[in-house]
Amino acid sequence: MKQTNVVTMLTENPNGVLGRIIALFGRHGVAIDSLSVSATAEQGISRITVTTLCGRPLTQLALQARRLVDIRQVTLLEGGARREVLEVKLCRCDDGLFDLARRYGAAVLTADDGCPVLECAHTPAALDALLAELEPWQVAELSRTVVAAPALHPAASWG
Amino acid sequence: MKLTGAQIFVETLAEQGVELLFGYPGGTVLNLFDALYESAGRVKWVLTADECGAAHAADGYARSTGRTGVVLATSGPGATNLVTGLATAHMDSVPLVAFTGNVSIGVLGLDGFQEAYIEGIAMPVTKHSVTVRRVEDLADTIRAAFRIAQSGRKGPVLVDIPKDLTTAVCEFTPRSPAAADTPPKPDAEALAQAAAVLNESKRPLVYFGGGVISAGAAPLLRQLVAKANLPAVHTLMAAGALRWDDPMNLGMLGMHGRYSANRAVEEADALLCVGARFSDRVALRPEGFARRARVVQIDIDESEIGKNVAADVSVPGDAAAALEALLPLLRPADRTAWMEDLRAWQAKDYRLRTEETFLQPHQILEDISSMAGEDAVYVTDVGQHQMWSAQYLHHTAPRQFLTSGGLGTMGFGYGAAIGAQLALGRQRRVVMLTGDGSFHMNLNEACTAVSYGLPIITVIFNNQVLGMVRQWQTLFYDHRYAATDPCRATDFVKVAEGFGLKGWRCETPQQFREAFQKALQEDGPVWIDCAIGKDEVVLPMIPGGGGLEDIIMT
Repeated sequence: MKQTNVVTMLTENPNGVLGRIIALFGRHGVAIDSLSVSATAEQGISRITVTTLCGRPLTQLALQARRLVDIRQVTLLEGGARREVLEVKLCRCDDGLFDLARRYGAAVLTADDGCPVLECAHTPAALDALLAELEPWQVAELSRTVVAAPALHPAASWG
Repeated sequence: MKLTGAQIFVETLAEQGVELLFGYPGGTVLNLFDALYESAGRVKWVLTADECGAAHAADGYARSTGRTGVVLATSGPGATNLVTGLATAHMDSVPLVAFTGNVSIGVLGLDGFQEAYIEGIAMPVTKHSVTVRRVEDLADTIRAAFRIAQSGRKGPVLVDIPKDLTTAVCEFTPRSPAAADTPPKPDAEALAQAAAVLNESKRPLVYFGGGVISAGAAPLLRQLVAKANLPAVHTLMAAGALRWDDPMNLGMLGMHGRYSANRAVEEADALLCVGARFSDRVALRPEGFARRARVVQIDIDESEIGKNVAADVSVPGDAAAALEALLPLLRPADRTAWMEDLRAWQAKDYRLRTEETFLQPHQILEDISSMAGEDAVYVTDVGQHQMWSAQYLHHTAPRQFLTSGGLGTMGFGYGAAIGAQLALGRQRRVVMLTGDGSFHMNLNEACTAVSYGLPIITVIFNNQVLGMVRQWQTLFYDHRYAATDPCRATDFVKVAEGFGLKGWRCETPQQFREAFQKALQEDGPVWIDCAIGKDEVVLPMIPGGGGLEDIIMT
């Protein structure tokens, strides 16, 4: 499996800077695997998180991102806590589904049409495994969020 | 006090110390120009032939003085005409603030007449670009633009002003000019390591670039090489930081650099890089560049350190601050053996003969250098004449050789020369060196030189072909001259007359010297059209991706 690189950036102006970040990654030929804009604990500051599967060192790209006027901090992450949220609507429901949900710490909800919806926050690898195990219940719809990666394990940071 | 957006624009420019801007009017900037008119000369404008010329003029103004150049263009095509000028300034880290008008806020995004999303178009070719959306934000946005343009690694900033903001009214409070952000102080430990690398070295070399000039660090560099006996090589952008005849100055390195300068890089055991970026015209093969050397890199832009060539010691920070701190740490050393090697390599450098029967580029440039005086400012376009100008002009001081190095913009020269002449005053001698190819891209700015009576001397290296590309075709494409032999019938003497200036044609060195002498006495712009051979080539040359063993000397 290819190594995932995560770059997180703090900004006061996510609208203004998003296009610049995408252009920067595009210019380097680094495909963005996921991108999110989210709130931080500090009012008015947003976190932009980009993950890529390019497997290349991203130090130079991170330093160029740091040059953008609206970016106040850039952090490269490796390992550590990375979570995604998976919402998956299934075609049938039985006790086995509840057992599976328990094993993964997932909740089973009910959609408006009565179908079961499994909701799980976990590591990307665990969610891949869960999806594989869900096959017998027939996935009808699937929505998976991008990685939420608090800077618990920074490999490098420029503020 | 309550002012309109247009008045705030002028007041804020005046507050930031702007005396002159280059521009071209149009529908969305009518109010801005009207407010300039009303200001009765507090902020003057210079009208160019087009916005591209205005952007290059603002660039030439900035390069020749170090101050921020300002350009003002209307929306749509006016704004898109700035793009090449912005990219040129961006690649060479030139401080510029560009203002564009735009359609009114309510119409933005609805494809109004002359609407262009210039904030987005400018993103990759500026340090920053912004659309002002509230008149209350106008003054502070302009202030921030000037601060950003001059902070850290300098560069262009674009401020887009929708038309309805220019008539909207709000309270304005004057402030003092925006100070640039304080650069990080160079790390003492890194500097100590850098000094150790150089003090322990037997074959040290300084490799310096445009960052030295940008930081105003040329006097410190001169002290440094003199104190520690450090030979030095320079990039295209750094010509003049050391005097051309400084014995420690080995000249330009890279693709069209001297054999001795490139050999010095090859043999050095320590390389101090100051304000240069190991570009592909210098480190033609980055993996083998300075392969015997421990590399110390000083750069204000941390993302440049180790970008193309790995640095053993990195010193992020301002070049002037770093050199000042490094100076007392360096010990004078006896470099006799190293200097003897360097002198022996210099004896093998490419040499040209003097001829009196026909014109040769190197002779034209040497004649210009001896006649124009040491404080002359030279501006070039891009191509063979640019490389010859870098190689043969007698560069004596920083900010006296203005050239588009990074982007390599043909058509840069005349606008930049106009900007430099207006910035430095009529008493300074400005000489524009161009080729017939480049000049066809910007000779329309002759009308500006005439309107303002600027005594710019333009020397056209006229070989009737697109010489630099043709040279590559000669060397690497088996003489297949695709699209480089345009068979133009342009008579530059007549064109000059048509614009209302003087033009002369020369075919021998004697004729050239007489023409240039006459040009020096003129009060207005002059063109000197020099007939040179179409097979003149820029040598030496190391092909892209090549090494010293690939150097072409004949």
